[in-house]
Amino acid sequence: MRGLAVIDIVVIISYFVVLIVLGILSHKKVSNQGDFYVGGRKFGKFMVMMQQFGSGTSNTHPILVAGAVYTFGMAGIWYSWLYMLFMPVLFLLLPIIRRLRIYTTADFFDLRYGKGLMPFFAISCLASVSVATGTILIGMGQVVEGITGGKIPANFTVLVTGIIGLIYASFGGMIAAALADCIQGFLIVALSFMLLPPMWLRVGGMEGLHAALPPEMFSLAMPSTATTDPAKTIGLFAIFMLFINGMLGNLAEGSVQTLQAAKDESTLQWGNLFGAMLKRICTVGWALVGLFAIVIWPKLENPELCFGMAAREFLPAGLTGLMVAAMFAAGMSTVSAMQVIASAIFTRNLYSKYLVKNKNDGHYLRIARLAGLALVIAGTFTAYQFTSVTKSVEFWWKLTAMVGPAMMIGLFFYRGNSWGAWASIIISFGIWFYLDRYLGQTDPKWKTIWYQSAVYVPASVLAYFVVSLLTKPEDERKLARFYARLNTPVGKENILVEAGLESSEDKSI
Amino acid sequence: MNDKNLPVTRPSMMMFQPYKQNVKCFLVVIALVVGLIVAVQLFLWF
Repeated sequence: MRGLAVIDIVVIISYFVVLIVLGILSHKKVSNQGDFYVGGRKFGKFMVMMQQFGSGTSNTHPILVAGAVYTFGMAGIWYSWLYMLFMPVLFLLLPIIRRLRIYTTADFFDLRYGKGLMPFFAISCLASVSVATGTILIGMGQVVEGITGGKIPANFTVLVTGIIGLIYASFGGMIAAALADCIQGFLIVALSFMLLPPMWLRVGGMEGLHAALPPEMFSLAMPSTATTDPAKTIGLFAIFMLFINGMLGNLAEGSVQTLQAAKDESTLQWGNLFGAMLKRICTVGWALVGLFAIVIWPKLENPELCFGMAAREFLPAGLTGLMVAAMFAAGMSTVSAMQVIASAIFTRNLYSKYLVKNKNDGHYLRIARLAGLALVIAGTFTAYQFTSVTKSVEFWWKLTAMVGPAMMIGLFFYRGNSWGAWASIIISFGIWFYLDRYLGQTDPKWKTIWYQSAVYVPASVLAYFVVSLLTKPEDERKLARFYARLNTPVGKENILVEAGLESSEDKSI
Repeated sequence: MNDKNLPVTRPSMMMFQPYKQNVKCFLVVIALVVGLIVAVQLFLWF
């Protein structure tokens, strides 16, 4: 066990100072809610790319992927790569999502449906964002404690991350979060690859790996013959179900809000593409750490520890500080984006709709800043409810996939309505609960996300169609406004105003 | 937009305009994704 050298501490403190300065500088650029929530919708390609990469890559991902590869072989990389299969479809959807011209994901339900779906989604989104924040905080605490040999306790990390993240995200909103992502992105790339050279040398490179491990550990699709335990096999079926589940959950994750910050549709598509690909390449680095770890520590009880153990054993003084700063960066970039998302949802979809109406913009901006504090506190409490990063990430995926059909199908199916959306959410949750709590007790395969989603996803989609067709359609004028936005490119909002579908005084579009 | 410059108020293919840019982006993404998967698998095997 080794602690921190002076140079390590200097690196970590410098990183925090830069973040706070960025937050304070960004404060001047935020004059209204639009600036705070979506950066005034002015982000160019580079900002979109770094925002996508930074906010989409949390410190839990290296732990998750390295741990999954340690357990399943290289096929474990799909725990992060699963979204990659969805990318071609996502890039067709991105311009449509930008055309929604909304601030928050909950706004989508307000625009498309009625019957209480918006407040329901807003509350469940706040809950799931605090689960995600908790997951990140717990992961960051564990790793930093591991890397520093206990010199920085997990609780201290959780507290510092919360406070620093709160300061810069509350001051500068989405602009500060995105600016910080530009710096944090470089740190995340460093985090992904700095462990590889020393581990490579220890194991003897790829030759050493091939000599020590069976061939199936190198396959991206683990053959089912490798193990008879379905809970420990990621075959084509599991990859397919992770893909379907991820595709449905992706839209409901709150990232719809960060996508609204791009200045136009093309900027969003290309910026997002480069950010997403950068993450996929970094994932290979995390996966290789897991593979090397199997050879170096063959009998780890908790595979999730392998990334932290590698950092502790292989990094010299100076680089340890950089790794800790990079871990903070990976976590903070995601936490700050979530803080802004949660602030927006609370203030816009709950506070100004139901609690305090018709106040001026400055009032709601102050509330949005304060709401971030509540999220950090909620996230900190949540952090102690989960003992496994993998389990809490899987829980997050399931939650978001349950509301996914209502969003995804609602974009294209005119006849879809609120009753269908409610039915799909309730049925998928009920099925998941039954499988997880009852069937899973006797047969462990029903505890895996791929077997569970193979049942609740089709049931949810079917329920959406059937119930929508059997009940009264959504209000025509509401649908006209929704689809008019989707059919009208960004920059041509005057058409919507001239058609009487939007108000010329509505600055949010 | 239709001839009268009024927005279309039902799901339509106009949601995917401009088609050329979208097709280009779609193909580039597929090429990058397939390329990355193949490159990583080949690297691991050899």
